[in-house]
Amino acid sequence: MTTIIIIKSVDQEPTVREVLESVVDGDDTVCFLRLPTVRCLGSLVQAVNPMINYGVDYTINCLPEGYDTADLVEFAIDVDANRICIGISEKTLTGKARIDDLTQSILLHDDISGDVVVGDHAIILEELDYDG
Amino acid sequence: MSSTDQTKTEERRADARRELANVREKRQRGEGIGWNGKTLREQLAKLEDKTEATGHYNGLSTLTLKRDDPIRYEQLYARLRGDLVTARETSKEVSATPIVEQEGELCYGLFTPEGDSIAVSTGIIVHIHTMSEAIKFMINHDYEENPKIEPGDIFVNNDPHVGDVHPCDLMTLVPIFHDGELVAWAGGVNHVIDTGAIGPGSMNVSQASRFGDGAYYTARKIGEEFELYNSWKKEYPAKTRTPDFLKLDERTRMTGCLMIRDAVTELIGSIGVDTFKQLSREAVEDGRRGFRKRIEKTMLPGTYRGASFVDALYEGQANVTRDYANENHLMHAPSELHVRADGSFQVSFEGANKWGWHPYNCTPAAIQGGVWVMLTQTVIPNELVNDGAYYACDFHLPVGSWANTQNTETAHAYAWHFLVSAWAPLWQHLSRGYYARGFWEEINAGNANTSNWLQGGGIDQFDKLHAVNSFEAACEGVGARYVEDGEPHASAVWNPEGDMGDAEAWERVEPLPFLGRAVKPNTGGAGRRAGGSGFESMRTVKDVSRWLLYEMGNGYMTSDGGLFGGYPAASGYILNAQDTDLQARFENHEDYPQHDLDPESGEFESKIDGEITRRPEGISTPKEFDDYDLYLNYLRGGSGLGDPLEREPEAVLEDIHDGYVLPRHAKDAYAVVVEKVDDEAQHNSAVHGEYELDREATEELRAERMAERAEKAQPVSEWYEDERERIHDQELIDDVKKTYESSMRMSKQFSDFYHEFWELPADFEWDLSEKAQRSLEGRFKSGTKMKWDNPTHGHETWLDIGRDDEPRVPYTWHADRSIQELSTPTASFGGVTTGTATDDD
Repeated sequence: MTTIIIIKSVDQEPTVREVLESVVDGDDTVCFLRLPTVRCLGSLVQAVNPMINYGVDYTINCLPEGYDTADLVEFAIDVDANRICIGISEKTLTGKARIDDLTQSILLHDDISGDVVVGDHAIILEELDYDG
Repeated sequence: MSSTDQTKTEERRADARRELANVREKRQRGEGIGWNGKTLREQLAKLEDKTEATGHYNGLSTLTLKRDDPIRYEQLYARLRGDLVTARETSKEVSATPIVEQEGELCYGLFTPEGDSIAVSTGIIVHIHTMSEAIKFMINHDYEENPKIEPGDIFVNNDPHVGDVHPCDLMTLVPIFHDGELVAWAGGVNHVIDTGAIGPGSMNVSQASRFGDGAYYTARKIGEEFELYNSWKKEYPAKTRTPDFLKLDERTRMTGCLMIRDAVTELIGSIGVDTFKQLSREAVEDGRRGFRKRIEKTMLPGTYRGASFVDALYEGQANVTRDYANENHLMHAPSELHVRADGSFQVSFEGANKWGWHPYNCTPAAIQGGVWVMLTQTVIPNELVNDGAYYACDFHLPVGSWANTQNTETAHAYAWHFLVSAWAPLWQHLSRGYYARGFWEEINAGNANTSNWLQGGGIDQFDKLHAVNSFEAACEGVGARYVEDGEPHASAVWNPEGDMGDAEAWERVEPLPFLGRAVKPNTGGAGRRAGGSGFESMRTVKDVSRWLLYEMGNGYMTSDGGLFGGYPAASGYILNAQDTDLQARFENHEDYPQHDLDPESGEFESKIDGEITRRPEGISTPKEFDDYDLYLNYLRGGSGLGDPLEREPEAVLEDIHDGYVLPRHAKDAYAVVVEKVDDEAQHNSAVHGEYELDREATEELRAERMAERAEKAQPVSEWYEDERERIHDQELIDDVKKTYESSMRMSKQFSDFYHEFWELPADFEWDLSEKAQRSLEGRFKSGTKMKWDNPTHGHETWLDIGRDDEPRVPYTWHADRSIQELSTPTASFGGVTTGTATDDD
């Protein structure tokens, strides 16, 4: 299984931990995919230590400046991802996750579909199918 | 610059510009300069994560390159190492200081992008790991973003809190790129002659804090496109007393780094970048495995413990920069070596006393570098010296102690003084392990305290402001081995290739003509195997003004104890003569002192009139010297091994003729009786005369000595009672009480142990002088001022961070520990392979 975790900010440690704790199995591969606005995941990796603490192998990749959702989907197809995880950046007063533009554009993209699961810190698009 | 050099320089710059375009293009795509688009910090974080999770460097459970074609692997590694050695041998000729040119106080390393050393040259290989730390500091403090790490860049560092032993070791670091990726770093370090400290010389001793140490350059970018910034060229040399020497030293380091960079580029051209990357990773893992295998084969698992002390006496010294620093310091280093069942080991200094207002404090990088160079002389006697060994062991250095100040206010100019003394027990820990496993050829009683350091400066014989730092200290006696005597006047442990240098070379840069140079008797520790003797140089001063000189080394305390009944090496002393009649003696063709071979003979004093200082201390602060004054530079010997009464009498006779032992010392220490049969010198020694052995008298004397020993011998229980009473009654000098109080405040574990062992009441408190109390209060209240905002994994034990899943540090100092609790005779490493150790291990 391959899981993409989209990193919008190095402060997303809770998102990463939730995904690694609840979603990913030890023999899965995790792709940390950072947005171009995030210059480096070094501090996040140092804090989480995915191999030491969760026993998962991982890659670190980045989306180019001026990327669009198609680039992200293309990456998912390249790595044959089974799920995409996106951090919840905002919640309503009643505690419901707000869908941000990035999440919405992925959900609405024609070439990709799957089941949506909402956690405390992450929205997970599972059982991915690629139509492209 | 020749046309060939010009072409080469232009080619190199063109390469840098091409690579720079690649790097900037990648940056536009959001990619870092690490491998596969990662940033360096991501790459380092992942490497540490993977290494710790798998127990193999970067998860390399199989060394595929080595497994598939071991000969090719060895060829490639040898080529890399050969390139580093060539760079050193070539570039050291660029330098103008005998420190580099004569002594080779220069070392190069090739590092992975994350800063792990793949291979190192010969030379001061203490920097196997200090440069690593400097690179890791840049990575973890986001230098990739700002000031950027780009092709053609040049960085410098001499900040001990970042990665160095002390600020006179300046390092140059050059990143090596290929196709927009950082593939390696070339680094070079050399010891410079002056750091612009408050006193002249590279390791001034009169300062209380780091602000007197001289200039610190904290991992600073100083050039691009392989060219130094003008701002750097104008600033840096002028901060010191010896700008021309420092400029040439920098060219030395640049020459070496560029040679390494060219060699790596060529190697990648021939084997491809992927093979190079694999080689660099495998070399580190290979180093890690090699280290563990040697430990498994040569040591027994368990805990080895000892302690060392050294003095630095400042009470009453002139020119100390702060009144509150005018006190005596004793270094206390309880030392434990934990050899674990998996072949890894931990060096622990739990119980070390507090740092002080002196320049002998250490940072973790200094301790690690220092211990490493020592280990290369015993555990890793082959070419596979790299950071693999770093991954096979860890260090517990209590935060706030002299061994890990974590305080950027502390001074570090001569960190070696404490460092060299503190690792003395480590030799003995290892030697006990070797003994237990039968590796008797490896046993060594320890190194010499690498001093004296002759330093100073002023207006020299060319009427220029100058500083000196005689590296005759690169030549010291070596500790006795189990199977041989220690090498006399051989090398200092931090630079195994060093020697005393040509007197003429020193005289070219020091206005301190040699009056004599000789083997110094009685400096090697007595033993069945004798410690190697030190030597001495008698220097005068000529054509100077405003000239300062000072001494640095162990004094009252000998820091190198003997092993298995051997005696310690001799401690140090200071001998100067000022306002002398030397000029008149020259003019009148009268005798003058060339040596001080027997300090108790009065011979020196009989050959010179003047103000003579002879005192049993090792350290002095800068003091003024004038023409025709005298200064003794005494370089120490190594410690002895085994009972001196078991030394062959014939060997002692040879020692006398070789100048290692004085006849009266032969009687005192070895119970060997000799008779002078001829006054003429017949041997290559400053000790004149021919002696013969009196076998009968020797046998009688030895029998008498054994009887005396039996008579004097005291059961341990009685000795313990006597000592306990002294402690109860506080019959210790204030400096000793202050030292133990400091260790107790630093470590509850040490305090508990001390109380238990000496059966002290729970409310026992040292009765300290007001001055000692004030000194401790001031330092303990100062807290920490850390340099690293983002420490690496490897720093966890340095910083007492620890992890939840393992105890912080094993501690075995308990008074009630009995022999039953020690490892059983059958205890050994799990799964260890039997057989003899080979060069490859």
